[in-house]
Amino acid sequence: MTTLDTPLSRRGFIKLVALTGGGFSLGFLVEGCAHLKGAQALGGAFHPNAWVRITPDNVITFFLDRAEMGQGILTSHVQLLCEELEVDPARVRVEFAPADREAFGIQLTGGSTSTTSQWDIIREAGATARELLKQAAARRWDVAISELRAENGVIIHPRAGRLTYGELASGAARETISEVKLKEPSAWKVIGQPQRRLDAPSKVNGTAEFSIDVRVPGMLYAVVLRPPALRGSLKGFDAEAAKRAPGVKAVMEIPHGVAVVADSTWRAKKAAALVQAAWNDGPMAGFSSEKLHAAHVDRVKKLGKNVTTEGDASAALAKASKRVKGFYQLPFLAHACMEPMNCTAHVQEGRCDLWLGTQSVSITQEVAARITGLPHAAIHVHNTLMGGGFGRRSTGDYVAEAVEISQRVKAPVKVTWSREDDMRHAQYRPAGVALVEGGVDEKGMPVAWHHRMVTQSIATAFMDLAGTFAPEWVPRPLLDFLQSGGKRFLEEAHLTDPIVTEGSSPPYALPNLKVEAAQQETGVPAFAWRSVGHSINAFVVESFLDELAHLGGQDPFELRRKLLANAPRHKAVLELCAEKIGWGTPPPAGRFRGIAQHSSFDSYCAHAVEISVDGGLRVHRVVSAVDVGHVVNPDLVAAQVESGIIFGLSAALKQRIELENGRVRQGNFHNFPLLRMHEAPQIETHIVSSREKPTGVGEIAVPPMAPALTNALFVATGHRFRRLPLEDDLALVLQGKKPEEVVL
Amino acid sequence: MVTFTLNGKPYSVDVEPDTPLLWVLRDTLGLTGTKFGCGMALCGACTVHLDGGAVRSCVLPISEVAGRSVTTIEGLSPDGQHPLQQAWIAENAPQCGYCQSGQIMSAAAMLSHCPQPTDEDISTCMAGNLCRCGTYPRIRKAIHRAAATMKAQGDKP
Repeated sequence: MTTLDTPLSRRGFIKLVALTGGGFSLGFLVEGCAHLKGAQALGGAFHPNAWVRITPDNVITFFLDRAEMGQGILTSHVQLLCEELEVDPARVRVEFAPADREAFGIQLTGGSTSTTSQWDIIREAGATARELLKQAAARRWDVAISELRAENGVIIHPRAGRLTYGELASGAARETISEVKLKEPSAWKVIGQPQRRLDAPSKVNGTAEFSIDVRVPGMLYAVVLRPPALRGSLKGFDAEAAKRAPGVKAVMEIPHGVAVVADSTWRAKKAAALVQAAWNDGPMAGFSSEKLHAAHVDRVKKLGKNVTTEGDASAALAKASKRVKGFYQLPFLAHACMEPMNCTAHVQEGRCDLWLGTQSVSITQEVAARITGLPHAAIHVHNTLMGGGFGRRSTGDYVAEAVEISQRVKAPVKVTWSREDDMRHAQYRPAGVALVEGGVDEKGMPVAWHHRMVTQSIATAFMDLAGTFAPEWVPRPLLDFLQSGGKRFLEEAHLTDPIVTEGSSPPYALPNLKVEAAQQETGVPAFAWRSVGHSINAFVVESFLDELAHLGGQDPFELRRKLLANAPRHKAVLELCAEKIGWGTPPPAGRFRGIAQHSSFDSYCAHAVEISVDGGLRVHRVVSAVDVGHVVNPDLVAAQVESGIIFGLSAALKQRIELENGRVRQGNFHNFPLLRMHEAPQIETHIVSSREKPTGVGEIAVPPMAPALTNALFVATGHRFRRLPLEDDLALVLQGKKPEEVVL
Repeated sequence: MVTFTLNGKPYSVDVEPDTPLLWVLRDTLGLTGTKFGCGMALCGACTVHLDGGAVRSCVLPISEVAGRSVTTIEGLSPDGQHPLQQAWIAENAPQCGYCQSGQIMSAAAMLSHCPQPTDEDISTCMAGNLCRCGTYPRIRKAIHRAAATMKAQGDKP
């Protein structure tokens, strides 16, 4: 049994802050299990807790209190339930749970936490339901509970017979229970099985309802005309022509631009083109990626704030027999979810309804509460499937627009962003640089590592959402004050942002290590992007370890293995990965290999890659090994590893968001490309067998992808690629030219 | 008024002639299986069949569709049991699922003129359909699986 009544201690709060990469959920969700104390009877249905409902017609419903954005929890969480409830997962109907803080705590799907945090809770929910059904059967038949068993949705007694869960529902609703025991792993039949995705049938026949598919009676359609500059503002506009266009219902100024509301999306888009608007460039005027680069170069030379210190890196560096220095650069990145941001809102007297695919119904609720002044309980969030999240759908900017427009036109309104809106007016993975110096001794062993990084904060973005996490009685002005104070504190005090620095301290046994971080705030909105700070830091750490291996004349895999002697789970995935790609045996002619490993979200992941460079780069194979603790569904784990690899390759090879005079240069998939079918490598995933608690899956394969690739490219070309994306430098190197390098 | 055949049935719609087929399907007719992704024919999420060939409905004005025949994901098979749909489920191909209608419609168009595609055929014919979740390896397997199923069905006496 897990503890059901843990108060949110101060330590818990600190843990919460440290997990703002997305993992807010841990300490909060225990409230939900308070329902263990007694079942609830709702209209004859058996609703023993917030996650499961069984009605007399034998329909079993699971309420998914997290978001399904492709990662597969709609299936794996049902597996958790069914393991204990003794039902075939394919029989369970899944509904998205409403925003309900009392039942579910803060609902935010991020930080790869869903399985970790729900692992006990959902199994307990299933076990509780099962035991209550057994108690009801025991009472009905007047037999001992110990003589009953639950199997495939039926309670069975050797003599009394069989009763379906539906037949027992109303009786079970009157039962109470104080404690349940979970199955031993040896008895599992559903956990660990490659259950097919329960959402696949609806996703291949067009019936799956995504955010953008929502239709509400009387609904209007809105698009928003936005300033050319990021964070720009409206100076003035003339909407006479637009108002006369067919189907147009309203044209109005909203905080971020001009909204055009019509009776169809296309009519709104066409009318928006007729609006004459003048804009202010706002706080980003004059900002460019080139200027930021110069500021980064300047800043990285100065000392930052300490993240990790072991021994004396400077002294050891001075005495090292060989030294190397590398300057790494990473760009801003967009999430580029396939489904552009959208939301449908209907604000009425005393009530607000929102239909959308969101990673956080809680944040959505808070955003609407702020605008409407309504209490959370009056804001009804109807969550749907979503065309990708990757962190982007944990924010509320597009929700705010829908609420503001609906409030004004007094009708349900769907706001749909264009792809260009989505790419140019978003929050981004911050750009960053790192300067790393290291040295090896005469035996080629690393003796010094000094890493200085400069990025902007992500934690401050989460502070804007403080209202979501504070109790509702905290007055708004106080929240606002705490938020601005908190931001200043992070910006000015001697603290580093725990989110952007995550994963910057190497797991290797390095006798003299110093990691420093400096924040260079840019004004560009930054937010969590799949794997967050790890996406920056793994590239630097795993590339530089490779640099030291080559400097010391050591095999990059063997050196890692030696330095991970005291890090058994890192070492195990590294060794499994190396074994499966055949490290140590020569690759096929013309092919080259690279390897990298990185731990994130409490899991472990290693990739080895096989490439060729004749006539352009081809990534032939990626072999991956992961340790994610207990595996709920191995095929979903493999799917997430494949997904992370391709996501990571797209970023490493092609993607960048650049600004020029405050304007984002990229706007659509022609200049923010994703990997395509012909570029996707063959992928093999190997899972380490583990009995540890389940840990993150959805993000872990992204961080080691870029360094595995550039480590292979070093072997293939002799050039150390330290700047992402690779495409420009790679083109030069493959033509035998030398890319420009920053020498510091 | 534009008249055309949609999933085997005649339809007439009264919209501006430059309205892209995508928005007619989604907003006017309520067939939301076809998705909006980029508006520039760059991502393939809006792929449908026009007289049997794959087209990007986000840039196809409804005026061009007059008198012609359109098939969307909803009309690919009467019961959702097209070999491609079955193969997609068997390979656990979808993740977020948003691009999959377009992927399946592109694959179906390919199989109609290239029933036994090689890996290279798949790379070529599917290159216009983006997937942010990176389901390409599974889509590839699913297409091969569907092609094998269709061959086996076709081989039956």
